[in-house]
Amino acid sequence: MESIVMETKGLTKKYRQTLALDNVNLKLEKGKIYGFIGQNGAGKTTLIRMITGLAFPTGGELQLWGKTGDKELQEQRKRIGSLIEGPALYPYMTARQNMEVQRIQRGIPDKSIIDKTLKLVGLSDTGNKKVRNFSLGMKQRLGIAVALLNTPEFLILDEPINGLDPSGIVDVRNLIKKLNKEYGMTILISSHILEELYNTATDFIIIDKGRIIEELSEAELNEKCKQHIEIKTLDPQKAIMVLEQKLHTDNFKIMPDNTIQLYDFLNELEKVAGALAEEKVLVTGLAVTGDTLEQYFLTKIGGASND
Amino acid sequence: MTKVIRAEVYKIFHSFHLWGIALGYLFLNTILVHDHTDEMSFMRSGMYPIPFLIFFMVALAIVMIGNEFDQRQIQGYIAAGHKRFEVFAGKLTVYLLGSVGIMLGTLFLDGIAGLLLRGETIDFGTVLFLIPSFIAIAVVPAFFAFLFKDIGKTLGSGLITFVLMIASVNTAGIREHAVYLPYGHSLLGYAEMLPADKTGLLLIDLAWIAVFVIGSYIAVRRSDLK
Repeated sequence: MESIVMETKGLTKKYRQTLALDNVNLKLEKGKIYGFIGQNGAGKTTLIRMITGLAFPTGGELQLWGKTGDKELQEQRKRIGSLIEGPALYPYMTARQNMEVQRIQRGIPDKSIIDKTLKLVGLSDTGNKKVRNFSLGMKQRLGIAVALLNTPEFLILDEPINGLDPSGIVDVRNLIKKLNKEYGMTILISSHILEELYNTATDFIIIDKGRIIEELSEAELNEKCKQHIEIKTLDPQKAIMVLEQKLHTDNFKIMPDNTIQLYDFLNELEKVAGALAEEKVLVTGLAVTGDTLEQYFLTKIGGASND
Repeated sequence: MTKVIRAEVYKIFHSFHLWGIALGYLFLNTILVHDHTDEMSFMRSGMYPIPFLIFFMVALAIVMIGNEFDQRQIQGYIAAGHKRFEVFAGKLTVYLLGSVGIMLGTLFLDGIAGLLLRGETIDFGTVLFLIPSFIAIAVVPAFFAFLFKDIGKTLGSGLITFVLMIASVNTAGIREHAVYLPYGHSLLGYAEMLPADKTGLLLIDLAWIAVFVIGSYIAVRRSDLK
């Protein structure tokens, strides 16, 4: 099934006592940009390393374009471009020479692809400057160029905007969107800068402690990050009691910092304030607001729901 | 595998590593050879320093294999869809061409020096016979590099091996030990103690090569890479 670029079925990875990936079931569809979100050690890089053939699963199955088995998977990996945990470059070579090594090893006959790709990432004028003298951002751009050299159908970028300045971040975002739009490239990006991920991705995968805890589209995320009343109080338990007993609602969540997100009464702020005041709940903040991806992520990995 | 070898060759011509190591090896060899040229031919003298210069092969294994695991350049080949065997065989082939080329080339240069300075004949038979032992010498640090996939442990284990080799060639009964050790074969050549029938020595070299090449491949075949 060519419309499914990658699929995992019960994919598991165990390192002695540590379960790095726990029964991961995931499907990546062609032409989408996936934002891969998780804390350090959540299992993002482990999964990426398995997709790229650097690590082997201890259980479950990985499929690339419907193919599985070591031999078939390795063949399919020729259709992937990747940048994992920083670019693997040769510091004693120039940008062009680094690209030439990659061109030779990938067996790409067209030499002009090097200049085209370097231009795409804004590195066409680095001349004879050795990579060891590049800034972190320039190395990152070159790493992206290496990943793009074979015009991959599936691009995997692990922390691609590390070390980039603000204009570099915008450039990479625009580049990712352009590659997705013009070439129909499927892209999987992991990043700690969730705001940036929100601006780039069309779909989101949240991973925590080796388990995929949620997969959702941009539209679903927007729905879930919907407007709510944020209640800050020194006595959240009493406030919850008021919401349940006086306002007769259980449509709220308690956040890790003890604030309460109430999804009802959005146009009746004074009613909520009144009910809380009536029961002498000391409120330090009350406002209508919406979640960011960051807040939503924190809610998913650590926030307590009322149910 | 051809693509991996071509990429490796391209890197060699754009890096100072191999040439720097070759020059260092040649320089030290030249100094050590001069200690013996009064008593014997240049080429025989050139066989003496080989065990003492093995640390250059350790350095080559570090820059061509250990460092490339450390910097994730070898991982780049695998992520690009090359089979692990192709990457392993390509890397090992180019490393062996480099390391054996340095040892053999230097010995050959010693022979040319003897020919030009004293009219000595170049003993091609002995040079050819030593090729398998040079390969057997070179696969040991390569094994450590494939096993540890880094710089530090490859250096440490390579240097320990080097020290043990130096110690072993200074023990009594070196001739008895030397036949079982690839680097000992060059010392036997230097001492003109090579047996007429060299089949046994050749088999010992081939056994070393087989053990360390197979061991190296096992170390990379199914291992998780960072």
